[in-house]
Amino acid sequence: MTLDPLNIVGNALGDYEIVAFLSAGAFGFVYEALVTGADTSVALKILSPNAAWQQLREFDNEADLLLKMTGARAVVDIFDMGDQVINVVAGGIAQFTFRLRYHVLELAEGSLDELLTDLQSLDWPSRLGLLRDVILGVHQMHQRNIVHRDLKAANCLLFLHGNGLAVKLSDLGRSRDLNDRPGVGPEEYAFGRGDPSFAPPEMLFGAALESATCHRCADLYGIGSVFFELAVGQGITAVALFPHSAKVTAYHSLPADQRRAQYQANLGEIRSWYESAFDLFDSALPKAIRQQGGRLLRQLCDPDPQKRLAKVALGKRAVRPGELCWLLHRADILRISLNNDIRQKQRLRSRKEKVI
Amino acid sequence: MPLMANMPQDPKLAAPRDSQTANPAPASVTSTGPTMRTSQEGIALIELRVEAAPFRGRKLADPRETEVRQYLEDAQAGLVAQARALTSKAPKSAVAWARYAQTLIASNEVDEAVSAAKRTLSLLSAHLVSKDHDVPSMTAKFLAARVLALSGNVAVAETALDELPRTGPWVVLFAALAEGRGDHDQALARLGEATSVDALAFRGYLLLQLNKSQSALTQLRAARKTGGDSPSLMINLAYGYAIAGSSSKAVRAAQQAVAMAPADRSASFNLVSYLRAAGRAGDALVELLRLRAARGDGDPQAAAALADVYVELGNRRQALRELRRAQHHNSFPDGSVEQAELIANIALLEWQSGERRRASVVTIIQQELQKVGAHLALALMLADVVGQTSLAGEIEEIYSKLQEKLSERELLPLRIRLLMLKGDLEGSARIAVAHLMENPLDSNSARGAIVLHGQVFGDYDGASEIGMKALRRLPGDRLLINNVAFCLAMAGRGREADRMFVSGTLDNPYLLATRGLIDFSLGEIVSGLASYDEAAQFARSHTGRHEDAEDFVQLMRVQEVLALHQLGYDSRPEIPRYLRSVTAPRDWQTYVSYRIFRRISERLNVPWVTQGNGRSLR
Repeated sequence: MTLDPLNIVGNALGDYEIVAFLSAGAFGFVYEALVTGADTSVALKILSPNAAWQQLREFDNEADLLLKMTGARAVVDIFDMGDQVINVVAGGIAQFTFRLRYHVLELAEGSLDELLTDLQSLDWPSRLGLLRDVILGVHQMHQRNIVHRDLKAANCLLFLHGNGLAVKLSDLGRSRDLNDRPGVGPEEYAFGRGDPSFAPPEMLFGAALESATCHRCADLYGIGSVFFELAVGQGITAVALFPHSAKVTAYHSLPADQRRAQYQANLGEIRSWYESAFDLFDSALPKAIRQQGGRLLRQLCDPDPQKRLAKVALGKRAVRPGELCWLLHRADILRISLNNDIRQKQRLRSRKEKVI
Repeated sequence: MPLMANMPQDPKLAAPRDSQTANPAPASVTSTGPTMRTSQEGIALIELRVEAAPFRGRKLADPRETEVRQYLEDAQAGLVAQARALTSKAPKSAVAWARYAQTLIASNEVDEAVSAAKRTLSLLSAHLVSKDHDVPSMTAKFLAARVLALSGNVAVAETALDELPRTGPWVVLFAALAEGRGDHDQALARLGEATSVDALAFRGYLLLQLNKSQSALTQLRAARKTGGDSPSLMINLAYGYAIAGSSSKAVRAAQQAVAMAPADRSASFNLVSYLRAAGRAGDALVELLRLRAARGDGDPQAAAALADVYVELGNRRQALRELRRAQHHNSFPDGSVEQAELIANIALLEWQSGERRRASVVTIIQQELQKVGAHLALALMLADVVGQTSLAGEIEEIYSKLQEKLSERELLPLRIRLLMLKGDLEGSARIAVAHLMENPLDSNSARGAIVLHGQVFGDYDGASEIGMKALRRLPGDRLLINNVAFCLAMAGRGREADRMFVSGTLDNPYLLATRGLIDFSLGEIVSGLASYDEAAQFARSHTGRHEDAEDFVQLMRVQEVLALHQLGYDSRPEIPRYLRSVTAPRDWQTYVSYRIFRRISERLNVPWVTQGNGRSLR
């Protein structure tokens, strides 16, 4: 991979001096930049000069939504945006002129998927802490009636927070403000546009609905998928559904209503495809939270979107649609249970040592 | 007189000259007959094989969606870049390489995916995986193995999977790879004691493949109990019931599958097959009309199935209309398999309706075969329609081409025909019976195999037993009943034949002729002769083309005489003079029917067939 695909390191873009290339994505490129006249590093997310209108729309959409999310602790901050024509000399001979559109975002230490490459070194209390941040981010988005629709570890950025790490959600290009009119046709919402390795099954089958509940449920699946990634290192959809990909794609030739009807009819079978992935997840969890964690994942990643929602006991207050306090609460219970177990084990160990 | 397929029950059937298949004489009943054929038909297990293929996203066919296609391609390229960046940051992480391999294979970058998968495995082999704890490593190995299996490196994939514990999502893939090689026993062994729903369902599927229906039903019921109903599970359960001979349970289970997936063609086709096997062709028609309404007009396979049922119900005109409508409704590219099958089936029906000559049908099938290349359904149809030894070379050539893409098991029906055309009648009969044992719900196989076995080996008793076993699974198949009754009568078991023979109106020359044979077997020669005469009259008045009707009658008379010899009545005074001087036409010698007749006449010591003076019959 080239170290500077746009050949702009050393140039200035607005008030930002580009110092290093960080990464590339479908939309374009991310560079590290310094704010001119200040010792502050930021991330410049630059739209590819060859981007099609859909990517441009997503790029603008992301900026709008990040602005709406200003103040949310678990969503990445946007500081500025702009566009500028710059001249770039390539190879010391050719000169190119680009019009670059960019967003200025807070600079992260990395992304969550980088931690997954060495899961053994990441203890479970930390993993649960990171999961809680992801839930908090989604909760904050849902509170503002925004849905993410592309949750995965790679879209969760890591920031230093006190002595540890904190997660903030990013990559809101495919996200949607539920107060706005749909940006694409219903078929596009039916299939979704996220990474298929992590996408909820109803989107892979083309059975998703263009409804607020369905979008929120897709995010709940995304949280479950991140939980699975934190335990197993891979996307749950890849593990559970890819072995049956021919059956999945067979749905695509059907009209939308039949697709949805057939998806509903096949829920039992699709759920059975997930069972072995759930078992795998259970075996990766610490014993102290195996039962509760497994139950939570089964709820969040159920093929039936409605079953991912909070279960309300009879006589209890119904959960508001955009509210994930129940999920934060369950994540907290997992953390507390695990911490208690660790403390108890430590106590037992120290007692044994004393006896010896 | 035995029947060979589902087409001939219509009295308007034009019996083709000496066609070994469409010929109504027993000698001709050795194959499934020139039935309409499509690539997908009849009862089929829902394959629970686990594919290694990753989900590649939505197929986009509409040119208006080119922008979306471009967008998706860019998005996929972004995912690849993201996964690649992760491997750059953590080059020694098997998890990162496994993610990269998955993303690459989803982008169709096979070579790079294979090297990424191999890199994953080599990283994992560097440090031994602790089978109890290192779930991320085990999952990475599983995903890498799946990428390798998909890209054709099955042996490497199997070696990798073999190192994993015998529980987990990889178990079914491990078993599926063995099943893909046709090794069902090893697949079962690899499933071990796994009790996940998909393992139970897959085990049930494998046991059904091995015809162990009771064990399969146990597994499938357990899967249903654990994971709930699903259309594919219900279809396989229905298949299990049908194999076990519980046709009403099979129908009920298939109806449940259809209720859950109303637009699912395989669920509907299975239900239709069970309904037809139970003798409920009217209900089968209703189901297919419902399917057509659910899927919309023009589905070629639904149209072919509808046409087949219409033919069974005696409405060949409507059958033709269905096929023509499907042909006009679609704009298949020239040379597509769907188009070729439709054209060939239409030509076949036109011939059987008297609108077309057989030579013209043969030309059409050959033309379609040239367009689409070697194709099993068309090759079977060609062999059935022609039935001449001169075709052996052409069929052999198609057979060898098909061997490259189909398994021996799938090619068995064509192999049966090829052996017949090459004169190996014993080999053909043996394979036909073996094929029936492996496909006990294939009514065409059942009809053909029992008569072939009886005629070639003279073992009508054995053929009757095989036929009665098949009837337990296909109790309503009038043509199978007819053929079993034929074998019973030829074995001298007239009373049994009489008891089981089809009740109701005999609206078909084959049934009338078999009625005559049963009467012979019961010693009622005058009544038997009258039934044969009635069959001849019926054929003449209902067959589209005159020459076809005469061919039918000619063959029927030869069979009548052979039956009289077999039963020892050839010197009885009731037998009319013309029957005593029946001969086989001279030009039969290139037909498979002739070979079979000769075999029977040699066995019965009837010299006239082999000599053949070509005298015409009344």
